Amino acid sequence: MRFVVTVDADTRCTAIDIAGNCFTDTLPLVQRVIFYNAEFNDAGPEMALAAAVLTRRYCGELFEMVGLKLPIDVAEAIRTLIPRATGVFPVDGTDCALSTGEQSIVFIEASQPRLPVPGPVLQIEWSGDFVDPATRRCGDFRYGRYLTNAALLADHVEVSIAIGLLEAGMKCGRPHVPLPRGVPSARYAEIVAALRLVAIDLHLVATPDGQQKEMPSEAPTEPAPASRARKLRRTPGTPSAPAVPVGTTAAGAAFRRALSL
Amino acid sequence: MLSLIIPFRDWPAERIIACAESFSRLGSDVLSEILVVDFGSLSRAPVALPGDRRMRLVRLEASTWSLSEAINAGVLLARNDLIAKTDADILIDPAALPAFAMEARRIGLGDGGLLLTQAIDLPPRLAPAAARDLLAAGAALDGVLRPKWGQGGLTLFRRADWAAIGGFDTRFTGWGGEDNDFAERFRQSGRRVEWIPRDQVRIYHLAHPPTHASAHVAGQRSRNRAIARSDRSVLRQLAFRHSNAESLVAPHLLKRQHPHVTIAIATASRPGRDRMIGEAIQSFRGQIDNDFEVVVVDNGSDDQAHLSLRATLQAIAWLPSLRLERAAQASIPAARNQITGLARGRYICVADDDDIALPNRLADHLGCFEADGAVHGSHGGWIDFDEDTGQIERNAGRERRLAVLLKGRGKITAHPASLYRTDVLRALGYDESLDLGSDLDLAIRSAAMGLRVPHTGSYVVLRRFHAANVTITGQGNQTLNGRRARNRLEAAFNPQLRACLLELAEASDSEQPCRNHLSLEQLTDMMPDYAGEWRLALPIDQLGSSVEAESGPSRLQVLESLLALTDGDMLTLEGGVNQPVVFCSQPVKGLRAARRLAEAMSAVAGHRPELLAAAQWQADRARPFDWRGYFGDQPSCALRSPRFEDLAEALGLLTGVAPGSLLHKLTALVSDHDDAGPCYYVTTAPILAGNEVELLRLALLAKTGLSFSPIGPDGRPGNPLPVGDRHH
Repeated sequence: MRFVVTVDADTRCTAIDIAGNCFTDTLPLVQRVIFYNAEFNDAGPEMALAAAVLTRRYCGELFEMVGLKLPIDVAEAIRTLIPRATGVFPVDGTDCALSTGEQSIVFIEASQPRLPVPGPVLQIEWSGDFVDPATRRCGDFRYGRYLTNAALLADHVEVSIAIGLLEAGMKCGRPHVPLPRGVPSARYAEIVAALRLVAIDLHLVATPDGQQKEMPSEAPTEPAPASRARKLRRTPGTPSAPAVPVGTTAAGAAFRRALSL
Repeated sequence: MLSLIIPFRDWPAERIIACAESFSRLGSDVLSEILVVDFGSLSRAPVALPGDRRMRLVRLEASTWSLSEAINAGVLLARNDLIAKTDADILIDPAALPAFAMEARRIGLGDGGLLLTQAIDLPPRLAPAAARDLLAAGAALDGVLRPKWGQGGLTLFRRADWAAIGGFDTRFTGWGGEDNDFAERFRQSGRRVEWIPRDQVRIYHLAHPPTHASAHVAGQRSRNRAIARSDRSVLRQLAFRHSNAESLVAPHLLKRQHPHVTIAIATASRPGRDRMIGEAIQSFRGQIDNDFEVVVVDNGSDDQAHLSLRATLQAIAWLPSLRLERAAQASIPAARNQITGLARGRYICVADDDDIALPNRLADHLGCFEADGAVHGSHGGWIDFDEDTGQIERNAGRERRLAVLLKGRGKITAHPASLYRTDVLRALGYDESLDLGSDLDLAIRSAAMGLRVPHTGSYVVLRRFHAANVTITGQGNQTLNGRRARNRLEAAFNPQLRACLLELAEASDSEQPCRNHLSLEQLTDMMPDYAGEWRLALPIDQLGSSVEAESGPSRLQVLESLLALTDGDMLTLEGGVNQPVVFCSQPVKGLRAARRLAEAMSAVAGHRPELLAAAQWQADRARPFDWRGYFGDQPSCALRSPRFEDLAEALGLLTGVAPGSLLHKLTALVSDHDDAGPCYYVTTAPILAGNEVELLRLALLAKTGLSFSPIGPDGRPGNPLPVGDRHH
């Protein structure tokens, strides 16, 4: 499979375009994964890992990331994720990109917003506590609303893992993702094994129904406690960010055309 | 358990038997059936198959060789759901049988999709029987490994996957191309295509004289290539084009397969429902060879209304598959979700119970998928017609982009003019919290998710407006819910994206062109006989001759004959200067009566009258004349006769002005409309004011006996400008 990532700074959207590049590829229902309200880093190796997590059921023998040189350990992780993918490229054999592991991250589906968008596939919102391993405290609380169609390709756990990777980048040390009741963790064994190769220790947490942590999904209307407010860091997805003029760069226009906005 | 299909036509029995025998070494616990399909061989002598009870020879009468169709027939006749297909010139290495059996089990368990095998071409000197014996003796045969472009030597798949994409395309004739096309569609439908490692399963292709050397076969292969290149669709019709499918395959087997399209009708009880739904279903007759099913879900009807609907639908005999279900609750989105769950078709065509599909509807929708296999649905333009008045309004629709749906104006899309892939509708679902407006919400969400729903480039449906129309009775709710659907998605976007959407909507919010701009005559052919209120118009200057002639009736005589047929009047169809004068009948209720009258008028006048919707004529005629445009930019005035309601009086006045004279050239007939209704004036051309105005007024008074009044550019009485002003 061939992946082209586009990030539009004007609209703050990220898209991963998928194209078949060999006959062993299988094409999903949508060939463009869109993340609204998410300006992810398109140059980091985590983008390739996220793409591999999302498309591991579809990707065939070739995994190709356009415009990105993959570190050798990331390429190895991709081969573990997609055993069929005998060819991963382009790879920079002299580069390694092990996670620096500064952040433990919990990514869970956020509580319903005030105006929920229905349907099992679009309504995916996320928030997370970035835990400082030294102090064992939430050093960086993040929340935001990511609207994505990624659930048309992958299940919610895989989308959680992908967004966790994209959000935290290679600082991500321990992502914690809840596992729905009745879903065996063995289903994600390949992902766990693959991420371990880049020093990311994925924890799939079996959470009983109804005990998921409540996370605010929109900007809080009441002021946050002073101690916490200092630590609050707005993510790209926070809707209350100030408006900026819409740019008219050629790249941005092409992106929006491609997005069929 | 596995069924093996070996299709052939006019093929040496020795090869067929060698092929069947080589596979028959698989145990009965794996391979329970070997189906040898003779697709209309010219020699009717049956192939003498060995005495293995698993082997079965079936013959189809077919005029043209189509390997695709032979395979499809075999799959339908097979007793198992796991299918292997091989060519009648393939031998399998006995040593490979255990591995082949393991792969078959894997596919049977649902782990994998389409398995392909690379064949080894044997040298020509090796006869089939000799090759078979050598293989049986455990010898390894030398040959040339074929590249992976040939994907039909030995394949394994499940019947459900085969049916889901519409089997092999039977537009392919002869052989060649159909295997690659099938494999490509297989993987584009989200199913996996895998090659069995060649060191695990070895198959051999027996050498034979090339069959593609003749011009006929070369032509077939060239046509096959053209089909593969031009048709990008993934899901195809399962059609029997070259054989008499009923004689062998039996309709009941075909019925169990997927219809190509499911027509989805959610209906609720209301006056005239049974009549309208019958017409709605009838309008699909003959489209895409009736390869569709109709699923009707009746929501919220009482027992009596439901029984009445059932009786109506049972009377529709021509339809291969029609299902009526009853919804527990009165909810349009719930009923639509129920239909989506019930649908067996590969596509769902949304239809309202009171609309009429244009004959091009299904073909145009599916054409979008042929042009681009990656689209998820298609929508087309729609033409509203009023059942009582016959008035029509064309709505081409707009591009279904997220920006246009959220911020655009006007009529963008109509749900009953849309068709979706069934898996797309299943993934999306209708929001049952929105009773009315769930269709717009679906369109918005699908655009937000990056699903592509292009325009067909045509009108696809006639939408009926009537007293019990949901659009009319529930307009308030619909608008409110539409706003809610937009707001909740917009609320999830960041401000920059919202601003961008606004810009994009303004840039791309234009109507889509439609190639089938149907005339009123063509549209009325598709409307029910009882619909509308109509007038029939004949241009006066086409009636008889204006003077007494030796042959043929005079204009007056024709007019008298027309008046004997129907009460009518002389009038103009639109406002303006010197508009054509027509004889127009009184309004006639229903198309049947209007057509009868048209026949009678045509017999009298020698010309077919034009059909007009009475209300449409009134609406067109109700536009006041633009006097300002008549005058132009010049500061001028005109002289105007008193107001006439009767066109004949105005025309009489006009003829009173001597024809050919300068005065006649200066006057014109103006058809206008004011608060009291349609009216006519005789008017002079705009004149620059001065003493000439008074002279002209006196001349007109002398000729007509009527006092003409000066009017200004606003059409109101006014005084001519004084001479001094002109000079100044």
